[in-house]
Amino acid sequence: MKSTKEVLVTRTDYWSLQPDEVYKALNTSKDGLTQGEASARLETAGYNELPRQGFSALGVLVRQFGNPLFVILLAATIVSFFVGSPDQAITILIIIALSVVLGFYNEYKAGKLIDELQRKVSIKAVVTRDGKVSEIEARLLVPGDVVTVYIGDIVPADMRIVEVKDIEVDEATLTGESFPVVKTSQGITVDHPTAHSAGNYLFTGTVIVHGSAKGVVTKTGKETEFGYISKSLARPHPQTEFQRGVKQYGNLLIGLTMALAVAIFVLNAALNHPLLQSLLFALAVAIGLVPELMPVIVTICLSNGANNMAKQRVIVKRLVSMEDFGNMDVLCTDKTGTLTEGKIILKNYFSLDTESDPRTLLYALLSSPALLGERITGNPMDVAVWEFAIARGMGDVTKPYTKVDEMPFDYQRRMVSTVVKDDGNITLVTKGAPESVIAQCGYYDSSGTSLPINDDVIAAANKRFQEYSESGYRLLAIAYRKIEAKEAYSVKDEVALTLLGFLVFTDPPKPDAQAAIKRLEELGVQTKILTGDNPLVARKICQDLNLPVRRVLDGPELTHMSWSDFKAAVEEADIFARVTPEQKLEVIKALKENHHVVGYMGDGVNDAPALYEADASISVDSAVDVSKDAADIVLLEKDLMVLAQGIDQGRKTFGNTIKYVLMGTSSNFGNMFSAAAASIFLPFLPMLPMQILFMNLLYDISNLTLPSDIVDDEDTRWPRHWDISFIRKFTLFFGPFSSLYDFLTFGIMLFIFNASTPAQASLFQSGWFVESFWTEVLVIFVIRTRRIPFVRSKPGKWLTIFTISAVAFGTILPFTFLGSFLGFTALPPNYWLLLILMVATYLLLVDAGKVFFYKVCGF
Amino acid sequence: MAALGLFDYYIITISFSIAFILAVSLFLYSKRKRPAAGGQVRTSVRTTLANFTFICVLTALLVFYIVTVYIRSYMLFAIGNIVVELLLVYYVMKNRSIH
Repeated sequence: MKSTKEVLVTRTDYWSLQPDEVYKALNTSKDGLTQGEASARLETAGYNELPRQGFSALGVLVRQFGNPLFVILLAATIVSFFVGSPDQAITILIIIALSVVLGFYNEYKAGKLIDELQRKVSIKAVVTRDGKVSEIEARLLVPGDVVTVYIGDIVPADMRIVEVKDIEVDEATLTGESFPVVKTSQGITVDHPTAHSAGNYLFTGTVIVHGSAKGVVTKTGKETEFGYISKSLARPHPQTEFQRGVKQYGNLLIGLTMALAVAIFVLNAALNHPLLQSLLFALAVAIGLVPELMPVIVTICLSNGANNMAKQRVIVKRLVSMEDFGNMDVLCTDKTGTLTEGKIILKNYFSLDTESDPRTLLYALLSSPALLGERITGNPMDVAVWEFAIARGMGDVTKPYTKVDEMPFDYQRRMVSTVVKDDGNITLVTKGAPESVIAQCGYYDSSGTSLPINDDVIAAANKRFQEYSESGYRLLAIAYRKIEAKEAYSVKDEVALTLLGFLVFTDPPKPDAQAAIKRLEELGVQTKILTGDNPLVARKICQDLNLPVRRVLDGPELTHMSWSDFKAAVEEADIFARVTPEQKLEVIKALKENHHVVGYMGDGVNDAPALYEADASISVDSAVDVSKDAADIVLLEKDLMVLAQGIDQGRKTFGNTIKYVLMGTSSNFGNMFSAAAASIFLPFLPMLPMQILFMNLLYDISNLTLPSDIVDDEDTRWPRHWDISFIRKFTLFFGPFSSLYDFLTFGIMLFIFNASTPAQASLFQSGWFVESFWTEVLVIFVIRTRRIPFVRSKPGKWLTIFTISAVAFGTILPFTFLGSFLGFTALPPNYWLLLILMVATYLLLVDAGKVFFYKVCGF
Repeated sequence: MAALGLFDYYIITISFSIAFILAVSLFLYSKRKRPAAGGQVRTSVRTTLANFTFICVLTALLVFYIVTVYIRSYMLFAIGNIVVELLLVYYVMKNRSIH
């Protein structure tokens, strides 16, 4: 297999061309394509997207036959057709076909739904067409488009770089290289460069981690390098807690079923029952036991939940994450825009000796990327400074200045610098986190004069910084340095700066944030703040929101902890301040190791690693592409109230899934167990294989509306987890109730209605079919709720209609032509009286059993 | 040894079902969730008996079902069921709760 390092970047040697030649080679220009040309090229090249994997009608159909028991039963049906009873074989085949069609229809419908939901989350690209810069959907890009990418963007297509600004790219998804690589716009002379050596290319799916660049699209969609190797690079998501639970449960049940089927066959054979009939009966019992519709029910539950969440403007990109979303007990979130408005305003500015010193504002404007009229690259503080200045008629104070160079912000330096020229004077202006900027200062500004900085000045500056910070404001320091003219400037020039003053920003808490946090707390979800901001700002916001703060951990503090101390500390701390993206990731890992189901909500490039690691990762539609792509769930509205509604929906989905599991493990299991036991001592089969299969089909149909059932409020109050131990106890306790009433029915049919000979087999089978079906289906009303008596919980409308209809159908079946065909016979009137009383007692007994199981034993 | 008749099998299976439920009940009772650390579990005879009301009903049901089927009287079966149902309704109403 070709390794990623051997991938050829392209079949045309754009890499050797200079930027101007690249435009010509791709029949485009600096103004980009015309809209007409772009449309024409879209016709030829197709949409810039990879074929969606994992969802096709054929794939869904094939999966319906994935259950090995289906294959065994089909084989047995063929044998039956040639050796035994052809009528019976055809009936079984029809029932199996109906199950397959039903499964296919529901899974296909659910797949289509999630496919449509995913399309709502679009990735955008900044493109120049007809000389105008605009944002379009990345799937509309065509070769020749001129695209600009910024920090945090996922590269939307393969591009030859034509302009570059200190760009560094994370190409790990393409090359496996952990460290970001620096790119250039100049031509290179390497023959047939690989992705590793193509220093003037940007590849689809890679992430801009520093700087910005402009490039001309060379390849789109499946023609890109990512398209070629996407299959081999597809990184599977780790299994969610819910997926692990479902798999564990399925394996347990299939193992039990196989064992039971083998035992029935061997015992019946040993008792000289007809071999083929014994085989068909054993297989039918096995089919009756296997929750073959469980994937369908789970998918319907999840897709119903996703659909409901979409109505609340929560898009679930990955269905299986929804259960973990509902069950998370810790939500880690960034601060800005989540707890706060996300709209930062400039509150105040001052130099070391003057309040509202105009020079401080001027230098702040000079160090803003908006200075040259480019779009503001998402830094809200730049926007706030410009909005402040423009509102006060000071928007043109920077006009005499020309930008010479720029050193963009990064997470290591925590500052940004701009080199500007004015009448031949060149000045480097630095703006950034006060600690970082002050550390680079050798001087301070005193009424326009640079004086050597000393401890007293630093202490005074820190004091004001601290006072503001403790009041919940965020400060940036401004410093400058007169610098000599040279060809290029770099971060190495950010030394011996003169400290000028500070900018005071605030991002007020959202009006509804306090209520939302309270709601999360009521839902049993603990909120923890992970922020790059300083601890004081984070603490003040928490105080404003009444968010309890037990401990605040600082990034540097975390660095020196052992893993065991770290794991203990993350339990106590509510605020993690000044944390790096790697530390955010470590916090999530530690919480998961502490057996929490952890959600993470973030919208920045620094949130992406944590988003990927979290059990339920949540982003917002306005987030940077890399975060949105890493997230399982996207909130179309960035507020915590929406989140609480989503959690509620996730829990309802989990609740309905568990109901199906409990149904399958109690009544269904009990019925099949009694069928197995009865087949040993009765002189005829207690139920014919096709009767068992038909009952199973009716039962499954009645359960299809379970995903729409109402979930009790108390079941959504706290996070719940997949608990195999609980399911096992539930099965052991409630399963035998069903068997008890089956055996009682056997007694009634044998000794009261004298159906004890092979000639009376049909009456016996009809009597047991109806009783078994009634108890199996009606018990959902008791099992679906923990409330005692069960009538205190209102079931869903459709569940009630389907269940009652299924019972009615099962009741009249013995009197119909279909019933005769299936081997049933009409039942005597007295039977119905006994049946009603017996089923009523059964339902009450199960309800009384709940008193013992839930109330006495506390499960 | 004489071969077992259908009625013997019936008594065995229905008794086994109830015996199994009783055994599981005792097992679950021994594994019941205790109150949080520092809490006390009430272990008075009265409480234990109250906790096992349900088990007593089950045992009574066993006898009732065997007798009614033995005498083959659906009327007795019907009346007995109604009595049991009334008892169960009283029991669940007395223990009504929302967990």
